[in-house]
Amino acid sequence: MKPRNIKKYMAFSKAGILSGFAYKFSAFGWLLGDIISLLILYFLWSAIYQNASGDVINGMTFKQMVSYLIYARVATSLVFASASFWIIGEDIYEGNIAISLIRPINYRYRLLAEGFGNFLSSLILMFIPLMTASIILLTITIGAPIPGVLDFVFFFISAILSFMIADSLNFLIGEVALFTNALFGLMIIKNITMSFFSGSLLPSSFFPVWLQNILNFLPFQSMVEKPIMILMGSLNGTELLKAFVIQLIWVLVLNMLCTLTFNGIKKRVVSVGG
Amino acid sequence: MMKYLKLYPYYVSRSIKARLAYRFDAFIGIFGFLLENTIIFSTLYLTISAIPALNGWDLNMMGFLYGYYLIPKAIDHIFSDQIWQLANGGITRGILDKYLIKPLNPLFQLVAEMIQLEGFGELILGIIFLSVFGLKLSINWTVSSAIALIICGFFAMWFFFSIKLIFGSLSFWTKRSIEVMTLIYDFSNFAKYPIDIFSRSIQFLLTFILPFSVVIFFPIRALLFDQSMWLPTLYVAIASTLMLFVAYFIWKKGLKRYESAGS
Repeated sequence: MKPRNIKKYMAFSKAGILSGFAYKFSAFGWLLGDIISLLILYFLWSAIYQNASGDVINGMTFKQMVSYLIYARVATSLVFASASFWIIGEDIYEGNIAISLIRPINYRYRLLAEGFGNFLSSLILMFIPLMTASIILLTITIGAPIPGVLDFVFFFISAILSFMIADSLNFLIGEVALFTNALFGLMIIKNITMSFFSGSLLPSSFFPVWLQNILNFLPFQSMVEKPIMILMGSLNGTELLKAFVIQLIWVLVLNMLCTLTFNGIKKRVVSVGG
Repeated sequence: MMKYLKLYPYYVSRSIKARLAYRFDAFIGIFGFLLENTIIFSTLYLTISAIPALNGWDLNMMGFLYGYYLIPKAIDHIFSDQIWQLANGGITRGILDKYLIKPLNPLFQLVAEMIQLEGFGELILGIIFLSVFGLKLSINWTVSSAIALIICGFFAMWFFFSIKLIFGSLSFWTKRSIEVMTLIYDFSNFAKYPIDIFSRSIQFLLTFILPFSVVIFFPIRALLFDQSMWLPTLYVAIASTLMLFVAYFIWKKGLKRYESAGS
């Protein structure tokens, strides 16, 4: 891309940051709700490890399990920060998509740029404070180890790739608005499916084997489980490299899919417009 | 009273007709809630599969409890979802204005305004869980315990309604209360688990301050562990009725403020 072009999209990133900031202040209220579910998770898992025969369940100790679930919850606010689903959904619903097509801007890149703005605002407002609080809390209460600096660096790279995967999935599902106006229902379906399959509710080692095998061929695991494993230092050398390569492949494949399907939509919009 | 009973079916049919104008959208909404609860339960199921039982509660018992939890919640969801609009900045949008100019109880109009079909997703799943896991358990059903359970469910529905109304009415003072309303509503999630896995202070909270466990968990525990159902039923009735009185009082107080604030 030419520098002039990058500048063009930067404006959208800036808008994404600003809208992220405006929205995130109300999101702090929602955070309280997350505290409830974390509290339940903590007690549930304490009871589960007390009722288990050994100290390790499906390869994880109690400390690892609680850290995993809390980190996953916090990372979700970052990885799923993009508003692409709502933007494209509402643009299609309200017919603004036609106007967007006249502009000399690639619609897909515009949304990605705006989503990146959301990512940055989430990073500053939610992720950094929450992660710091979680690490302090986990260290004090259950004596969990603090992740190393290098783990954080690798995690951050992986999180950016995860965000791009999540953003393109958001874009693809947002396109369904062409067939239905039920954005709220779609959002519920999308959010719950993504959180479950990405390992944000439970690590995939708890899933039945057939489901694990299917998930190996889908992008979900790359969104939450892999970055958290990286943060917890569970992946070494080649495993780490493999995780990055798989993420990168998904970024490319899904973005190609976005472009392809969006071209299809363009034709449909034109044909409706006459 | 008769007037309201006669009017309610009109409101209901109008609301359902409006929703069914977009059948596919309604279907997506119902499916969404069904899927969400299926996945949340699957997560719990996979979690508990790792151990034989959670403080004496095995998978079937937990499934039965989850199914029971869904039913009163779903029925309330279907009938009174509009209260969320009140909390979600409805006061500033003036959604109550049109109710106040009609010679009908504003709360009746607010609640009757919309039938939330999405709630059927939870209701269907609740019934499925209750039947599937109920058949796997050897519950000692008697006519008396079945009636008691239905009464408990009925009162639990009013309990969910009252909690929503209390924290929705807060927005008469704060303009917006959906965050705190969500927070309190989410406490109901505690009731899906045996109460003794939580710390003492949370147990106290769930029994005496926000008695979600009293209305959901206690009746099921009595049923499954073959204790008398009538004492828990009495507790459910007392807790729900008290909550309903508090809710209506706060709503009334708030509504007075609204009238004086408007024009």
